[in-house]
Amino acid sequence: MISGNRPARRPILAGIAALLLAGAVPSQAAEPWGLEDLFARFARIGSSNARFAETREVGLLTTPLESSGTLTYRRPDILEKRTLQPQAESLRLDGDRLTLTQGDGTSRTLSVSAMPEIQTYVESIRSTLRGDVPTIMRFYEVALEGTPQDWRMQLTPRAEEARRTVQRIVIAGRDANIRRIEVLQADGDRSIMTIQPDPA
Amino acid sequence: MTEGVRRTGWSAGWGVALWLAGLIACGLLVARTPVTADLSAFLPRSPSSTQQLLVDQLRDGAVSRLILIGIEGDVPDRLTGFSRALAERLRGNPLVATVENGERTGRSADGAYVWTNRYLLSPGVTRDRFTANGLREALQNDLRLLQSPAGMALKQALPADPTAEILRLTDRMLGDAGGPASRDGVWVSADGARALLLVQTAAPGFDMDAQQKTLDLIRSAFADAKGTAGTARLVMTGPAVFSVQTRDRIEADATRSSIIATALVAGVLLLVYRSLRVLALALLPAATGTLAGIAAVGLGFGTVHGITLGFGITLLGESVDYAIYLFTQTQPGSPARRTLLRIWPTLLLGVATSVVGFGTMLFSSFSGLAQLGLFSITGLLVALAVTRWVLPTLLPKGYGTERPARMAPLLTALTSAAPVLRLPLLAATLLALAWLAYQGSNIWSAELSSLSPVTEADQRLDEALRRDLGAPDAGHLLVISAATMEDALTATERLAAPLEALTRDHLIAGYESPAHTLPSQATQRARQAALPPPDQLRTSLTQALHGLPFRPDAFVPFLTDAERARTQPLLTPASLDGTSLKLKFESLLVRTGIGWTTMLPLRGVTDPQALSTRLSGAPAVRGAILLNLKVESNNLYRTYREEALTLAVLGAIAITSLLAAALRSIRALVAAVMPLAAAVVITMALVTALGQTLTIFHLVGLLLVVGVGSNYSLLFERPEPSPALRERTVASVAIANFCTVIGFGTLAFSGIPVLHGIGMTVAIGAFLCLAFAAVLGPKGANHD
Repeated sequence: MISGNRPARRPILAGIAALLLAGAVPSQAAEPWGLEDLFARFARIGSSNARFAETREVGLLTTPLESSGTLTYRRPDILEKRTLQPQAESLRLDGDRLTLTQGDGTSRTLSVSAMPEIQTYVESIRSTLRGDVPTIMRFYEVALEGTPQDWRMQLTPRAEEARRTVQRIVIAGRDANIRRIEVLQADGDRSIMTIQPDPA
Repeated sequence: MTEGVRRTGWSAGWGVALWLAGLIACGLLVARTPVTADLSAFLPRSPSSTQQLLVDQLRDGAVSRLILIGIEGDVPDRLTGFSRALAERLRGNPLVATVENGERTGRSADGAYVWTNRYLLSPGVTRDRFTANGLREALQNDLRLLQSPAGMALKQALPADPTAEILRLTDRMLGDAGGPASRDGVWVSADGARALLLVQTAAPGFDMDAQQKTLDLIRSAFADAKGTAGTARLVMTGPAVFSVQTRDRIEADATRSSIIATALVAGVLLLVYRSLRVLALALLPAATGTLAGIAAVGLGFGTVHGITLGFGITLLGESVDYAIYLFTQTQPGSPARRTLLRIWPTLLLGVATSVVGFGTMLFSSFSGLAQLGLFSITGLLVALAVTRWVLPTLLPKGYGTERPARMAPLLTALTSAAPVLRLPLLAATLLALAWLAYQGSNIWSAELSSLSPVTEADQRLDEALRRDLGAPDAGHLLVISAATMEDALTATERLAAPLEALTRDHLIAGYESPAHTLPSQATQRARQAALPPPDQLRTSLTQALHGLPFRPDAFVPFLTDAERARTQPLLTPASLDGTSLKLKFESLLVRTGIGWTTMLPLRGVTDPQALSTRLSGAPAVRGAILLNLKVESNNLYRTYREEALTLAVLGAIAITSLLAAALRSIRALVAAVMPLAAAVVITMALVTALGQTLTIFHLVGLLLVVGVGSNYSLLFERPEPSPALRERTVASVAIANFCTVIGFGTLAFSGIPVLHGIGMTVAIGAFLCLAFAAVLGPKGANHD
C-alpha cells in the first residue's frame, strides 16, 4: 500500500486494455490473455449447472449464515439459484424480471433494472456467463489477473449509487467455469459463494 | 342604401335593419362562447349512476390527467440524461402534480410518508404479530431474506422494521408488474430505445387551457434540457395530449375546410353570375345562418363543441342553395321578388323537411347531438329568412341572370334522358339493400373510440408507451359509496378480504385502494391498539430473539418507532400534503352529490365474466358496483347510437308525413321520397363498401342528405309554367348541388374521422339525390 498508486491503477488499466482489445486485431505474442479472451470462452457455453455453498457475514448477526443449493444458467438470460439448505427457496432471473420464491410458495417479482443495488450484483454474474464484455464494462471497472486456468476478476461498480451498497465483487474461476464469487458490501457485510460444476 | 330602403318600402327596410341588429347580437354572443373539444360533450346529460362515474372518470379522473412521455432518437446514455434533466425542470412547477421517471428522488416525500406511518398503514399490524411468537416468526423470515440477494437492499430497514411492514406496503404498491425497465435508474422502454416519464397534471383532464399550458411547459422544458445537443425527440400521448391535439386539429380542419369550400363555391358562383356583388349576396344567407347557429348553441349550451362547429360550417353547402335558386331562376326583366314568390312554397317545404329532420336531434340526450340539431335548425331558418327578406332588397335593381340559361339546355337534355336509367337504379338500390342486409350490424361501429379523432399512429404510440410504462388504462373499477368519508373508507376496507382472495386465485393481479394510502380512523386506531406498550414489546422481542443469531441490540430502532406509532396522532387527508399520494388518494375517493365514493381500480383482470360472478356471490361486496370502463363506454356508445338511429327514423317519418301533408298526393309523395330513399341506401352501401364503419356522424350526414335532397326532388317535381323556367330550375338545382358537393367534398379530405365521415356521406349522398331525382323525375318534362 505504501507504493500507493500502482495497484489502484491496475484495474483501470486492465479495463482500458480490455476496451482496446475489444476493437483491436486478435492480440498476438505479447499477452494472449485478457477479458475479451476469457469472455469469448464463456460465450461458447449454452447452459451450465453447478452446486454452490454460500457463507454470509452480516453485521446484524452474531454468526455467519450458511446456505447451499444449485445454480442453473441458460443462454442468454435465464439464471436460477435454487437454495436447498437450510430452507428451500429459489431466485430466478429471466431478462429483467427477478422472481424470488420462498419455501411456502409466496413469490415476489421485481424489475432488476429498477433496483441498482440488486442489478449491480446480478450483472456481475450474468454478463460474465453471457460473455458480454460491453455490459460488464458499463457497470464495473474490471481488473482481471491470473491465467486462464486460474483467473481472478475484480469488479468495482461504476455508479455511485450502486457503490453505496456493493463495494466490490471478486469472481474467480478456471477456464469458463466460475469457482468463487465474493461480494463485499459497503457496510462491511460480505458473502462468499463457492461453486462446483455439476457433473450431471 | 337609404335610397333602396325608401324605394322598397318600410317592411324591406325593417328586414335589413333587423338583420343588421341580429348580426351584431350574434357576433357578441359568438365572441363570448368558448369552443370545447372534450368528447364528454358527446356523452349523455342524464346518465345512470355508473355512466356518471364513467363520464367523471373521462373528464377529470386520475387517468385523464396522465401525460405519457417518451424521449427517443438518440443514444441510450443521452436519453436517460435528458430524462433526468426534463424531470428536474418539471418538478415543483405548479402545473405538474407529479413527474416520475424512475428516479427515487421524485418519490422521497411519498417514501417518507409510507415509512414513517408504516404501522398505521400496514394490514400486517395485528396483536398476534407483536407477541413473542409473532416476532420470532418475523425474525426467522428476516434471516431467510438476509440470505437472498434482495436482503442486501432490505437489511438497512430491518433494525427499525423487523416485521417487514415496509416490504408488505411496497409489494402492495408495486403489484405483480414490478414497474417499467430502467437504465441507470431511469425508466426506459423494454428495448431501451426510449426514456420514459409519467406526468400527472395538476389540472383536471377537461380543463383544456391548463392542459395546453402544461404541454407547452413540457415542450419548452425539454428544448431547454436538450439544448443544441443531439437528435433526441420528445413524444407525448395521453388523454390531455389527445384532447388538446383534437381541439387544435378540429379547429384547424374546420377552418381550412370552410376556407377552401368557400373559395371553391365562390369561384363557381363567380363563374356563373360574373358579379362580385351577387357573389357576396349569395354567401350572405349562409354566413348569417352559421353565425346565428353558433350564437344559438352558445346561448343554449354555454359552449360550442369543435365538432359542431366543423360540421356546422359546412351547412354553407345547403344554405347557399337558397340564394342560388333565387338568382338562377330570376329571368331578366322579372324582379327577384316575383321569383321568390314563385319558389317560396317549395323552398319553405324544403327547409321544413330539414328542420323536422334535425328537430328530432334536439331530443337527443347527448348534448353534442342536440347542439348539432339546434345549430342546423337555427342556421337554416336564418339563412332562409335572409334569402326571403334581405336579399331582394340588396339585389341590384332589375337583376336577372343570363348565363345559367345558356347551359340549361344541356342540363335539361341530360335530365330528360335520365329516366332511361330507372331500371339500373332499381337494380343498384336492390343490390345496395342486399349488401346492407348481408353486412347486418357490422356496418355500425361498436366502440366509443370510433368517435375519437385520434390518428392511428398516435393510438399505436399511446399503446406502446402504456405497455412500456405499465400505466393504467381503462379497465375495471370496483365502486362503493357512503355518506361520510370515514364510512366510505370503512366500506372500502371491508372489500380487502374478498379482493385478496381474488388476487390469490389469479382472477385479478392486484388492486388499488384509497384505504391503502389513508386507512379509516377506526382501522388506524385498531392498529395502534395492536402495538403493545414499550415494556411489553421489549420483553416479547427479547423472548423472540432467544436462540436466533441476531445481535441483542440490533432492534433498538424498532422499539422506538413502534412506541412513536402507538401514540402518534391519527392520519388525516392533510397528512398527505406534499406527496404525490395525495392526488392518487383524491382521485380514488371523490365527493359526489350523495356523499363519498371510492373507486378501486382492479389490475390484470383476465376473465371479467368469472370476476363478476365471484363478486356478485360475495356478501362483503354488497353495495359495491363492478364497472368495466371499456364495456361501459361501449354500452354508452351503443345507447347513444341506438338513440340516434331511433331519432333518425323518427325524423324520416316526420319528413315523409310533412311532405305528404304538403303535397296532398300519393304520387307526388312517392316521387319526392323515392330518390331520397334510394340515395340514402346507396350512400350507406358505398360508404361501408369503402371500408368505413358507420358512426353517429354518418347518421347526421344522412339526415343532411335528406334535407338537401328533398329540395332537389321537390323542385324537379314542381310543374313549371314554361320550358324556359323549367330549364332555369334544372340549372339552379345543378349549381346548388355542385356547391354542396364541393362544400362537403372538401370536408371528406379531413384527417379527422368524424369530419371525413360526414363529408364523404353528404358529398356522395347529395350528388346521388340529384341524379336520382332526375332519373325518377317526371318523364319528358320538357315536352310539355
